[in-house]
Amino acid sequence: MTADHLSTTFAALADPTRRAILARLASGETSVAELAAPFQISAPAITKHLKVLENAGLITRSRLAQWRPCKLEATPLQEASDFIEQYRQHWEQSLDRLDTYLKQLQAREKKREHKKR
Amino acid sequence: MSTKNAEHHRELVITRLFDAPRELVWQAWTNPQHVMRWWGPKGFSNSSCESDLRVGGSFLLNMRAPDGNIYPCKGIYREIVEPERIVYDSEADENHPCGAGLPPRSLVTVTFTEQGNKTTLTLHTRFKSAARKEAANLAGYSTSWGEALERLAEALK
Repeated sequence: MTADHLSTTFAALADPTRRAILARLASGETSVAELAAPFQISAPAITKHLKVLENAGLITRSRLAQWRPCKLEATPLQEASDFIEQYRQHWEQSLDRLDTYLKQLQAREKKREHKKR
Repeated sequence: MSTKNAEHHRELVITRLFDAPRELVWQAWTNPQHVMRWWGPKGFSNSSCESDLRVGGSFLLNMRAPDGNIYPCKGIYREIVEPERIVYDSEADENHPCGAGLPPRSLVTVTFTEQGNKTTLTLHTRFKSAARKEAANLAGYSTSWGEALERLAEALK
């Protein structure tokens, strides 16, 4: 996975309307008209959002059916989600190691004090 | 979406309580000899660490993955309030999305709070909204995105 690939995904996810569209598509493929219904924006505006999502590989639009249904593509979302998870893991595991290390340092300190006495 | 919300969506917060006095946690966090002993996920090690602990100074660490790959971590200290707070500005390469702990174009704030003889550490990552807006949405992904992702997960079953 390249950073550039991720950038495109994140840029596409930047907009609340686009996120809402994706959330809607998570429950199944649907037509553009149906997608546009909950939003108070024009059809061309919806089409523009769909293009951004399509370019990011987040959705595909069937060329077979006349009504060109939109479908969610999960892979880029999964990659983006993996990145967050990877980053979180970096820190959770580093902090685990720090916790162990702090215990070692304190045990060493105690030993030293014990010797002094 | 309110501005406050938008801000919130760019952030990721991780907290941990350590059974150690704050001074010691601060030492373990700022002394390179100590840092090399714990920085990085399980199974990782560090081949070098340099820290110029002053505002504008840099933090450089080379993290080695179990497969031998080296992941550099680069940051600039933006704020240092001993023993309470450190702010890093990432200088990570775009090709390393995690930046070995300091992701590209992020501001990472580490806060050390005394609680009796224990210390709460808060690691706050703010993904900056730069020319390319992607980073701004990282944390939004894990917060506002939670619900959408759950539905997505359902859909993928």
